[in-house]
Amino acid sequence: MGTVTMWVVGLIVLPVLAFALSVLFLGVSRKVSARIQRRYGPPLYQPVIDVVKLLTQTENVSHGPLFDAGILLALAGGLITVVFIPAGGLSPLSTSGDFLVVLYLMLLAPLGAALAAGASDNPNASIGVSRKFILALGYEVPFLLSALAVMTRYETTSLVEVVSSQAGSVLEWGVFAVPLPALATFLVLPAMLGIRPFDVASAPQEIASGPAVEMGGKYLAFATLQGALHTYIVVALFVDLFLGGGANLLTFTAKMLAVFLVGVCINAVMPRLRLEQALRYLWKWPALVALGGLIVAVWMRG
Amino acid sequence: MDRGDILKTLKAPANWGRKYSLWAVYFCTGCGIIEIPPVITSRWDAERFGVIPMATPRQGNLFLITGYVSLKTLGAIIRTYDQMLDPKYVVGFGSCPVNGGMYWDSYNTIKHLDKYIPVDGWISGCMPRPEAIFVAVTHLWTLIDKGLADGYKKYKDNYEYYCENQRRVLPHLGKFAGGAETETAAAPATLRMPP
Amino acid sequence: MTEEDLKQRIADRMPQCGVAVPKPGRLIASVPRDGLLSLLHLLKADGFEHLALISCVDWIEEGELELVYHLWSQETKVHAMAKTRISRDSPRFLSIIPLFRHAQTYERELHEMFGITFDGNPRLVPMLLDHWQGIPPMRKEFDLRRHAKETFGVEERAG
Repeated sequence: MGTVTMWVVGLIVLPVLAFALSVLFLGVSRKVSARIQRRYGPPLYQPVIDVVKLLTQTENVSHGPLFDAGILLALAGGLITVVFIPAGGLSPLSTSGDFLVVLYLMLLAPLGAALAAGASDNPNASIGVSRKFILALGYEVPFLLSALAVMTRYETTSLVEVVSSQAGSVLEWGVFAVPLPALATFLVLPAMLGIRPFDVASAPQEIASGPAVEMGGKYLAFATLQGALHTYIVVALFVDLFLGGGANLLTFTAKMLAVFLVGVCINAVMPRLRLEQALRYLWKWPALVALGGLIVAVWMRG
Repeated sequence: MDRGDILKTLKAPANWGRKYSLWAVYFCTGCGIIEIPPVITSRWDAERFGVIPMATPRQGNLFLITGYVSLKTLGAIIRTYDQMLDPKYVVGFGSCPVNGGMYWDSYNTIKHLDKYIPVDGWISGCMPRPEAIFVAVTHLWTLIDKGLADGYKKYKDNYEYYCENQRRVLPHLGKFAGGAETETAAAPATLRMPP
Repeated sequence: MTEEDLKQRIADRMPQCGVAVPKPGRLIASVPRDGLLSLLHLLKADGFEHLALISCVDWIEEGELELVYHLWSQETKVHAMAKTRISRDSPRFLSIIPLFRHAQTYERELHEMFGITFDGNPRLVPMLLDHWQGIPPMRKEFDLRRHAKETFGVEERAG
């Protein structure tokens, strides 16, 4: 009975926590970027105002059922992924293979975005989606190699076991236990988050926001929430794999904030790479470092 | 700025959202746009008012008509305005939308913007300073609070009047031709992705 | 080469051309319409390699349109204006695209604004005006105030 209660509590609390944290991160990102640019910037709760405005718009232009379905699929995919990632002690749906499940579920969001963009009937959306998928091809190679290295090193495919293997002391964290995969994932973190220098998929000045070009009103609200959830998922994965997860929610949030702030600082000062430049970078050093980490992990095992 | 007034927010959350999250469509209609980059960059930071530029009209709800409006630009403005989602606010920026400004006797610019699209407010000047833009934004907030910023409703209620004025100066605009030159709000299906 | 030297060179080789140096850095050469192409070749060979603009002046009392070709010499920093006059009724002139390729845009603008047809210009289509009906608007017989009032309902200034 106790475990069932914990399970239900986790299933309810975790998405709420993820939403709250991700919207807070959006606000933090805008505020910190503003301060880096030596101006005041909007308040921390500005994304809440934005989402309220978008949801209360009296007119919503839809481009057909596939458009609606794509956005809902992306948002639902994000929510489902969230409950599989342990967050500071909460892990309602942990099984032995949940790392692989997360890696698969992370592709639902771009798929939903592609469906919606394809139904948009706008060439900017098609260009944005093709760039998004090519970029995903770019960062999936080093990221999957790193994931494989981590799974080999800890001899498990369960995220909860990866987190608990890092409990103990700071020196047992992933950054010290598997340094090469940690470095490789850190190098592709901006690409996974979709921030500069890898925000070519949603370039506002160039292709008019890419996949989100035809989204307004409640569709944009859902797309914004889905983007925020995606940030949460990527940062939470990084924290769980390489920074020891979190003993409780407070330390987990602190670590997520630290990683996110590093991402915001990179985003604030970097220009944008073109798609072929991004691909060339992602498949060179991060992939080589991840491959090296995998070789080291296999060699250390046997 | 009563952004943090929770009671007021709870009474009318939609107004709270529309006031403090005005996303301006970044369409540079005329020479007045030269005043917008200083407003949205660090010195006169517009983001603290909630105003940020948006790349596509589907996501914007504030349309600043900056500077003179030539006939070709008016066609693009009408198409952009038709694509924006309600509620949407139009602000005429500079003297030229008000009464023609410096080009009051020109053969190719319109003189009164509110004959062709509904305008919620005007900022006079040639060019207005960034401080004038911020004052205008706060005035727009007051109008939104009182429910007087209803240009979009006026457009729908008096659609025939506006279309008649538009047709008089732009008889070949796509939405009137209907046959040969169909330029619908979404991109036509024959557009292909560039190779 | 100073402006005086250039003036002398043009006067030597094209005696029908009226050359003047109104102030330092300027050179004005007027020529009948048959001699304009030769004059432009001459100027281009003398270092005026950049065509900055082609403008037009409407001498309505004399019944002529004056075409002015603005050339710039980077080496001597001199602004030369080659002028010629054509008739106001059904104005026709040759295109100087073989000499300066970007003259196509300037000639297109003059065609739209003054009604001048340039033989040899492949693209005399409207550029700035949108489905314009009426006489070319830069001509002096075009009643600007009346057109603005009728089309747009302009208000007269108070004074």
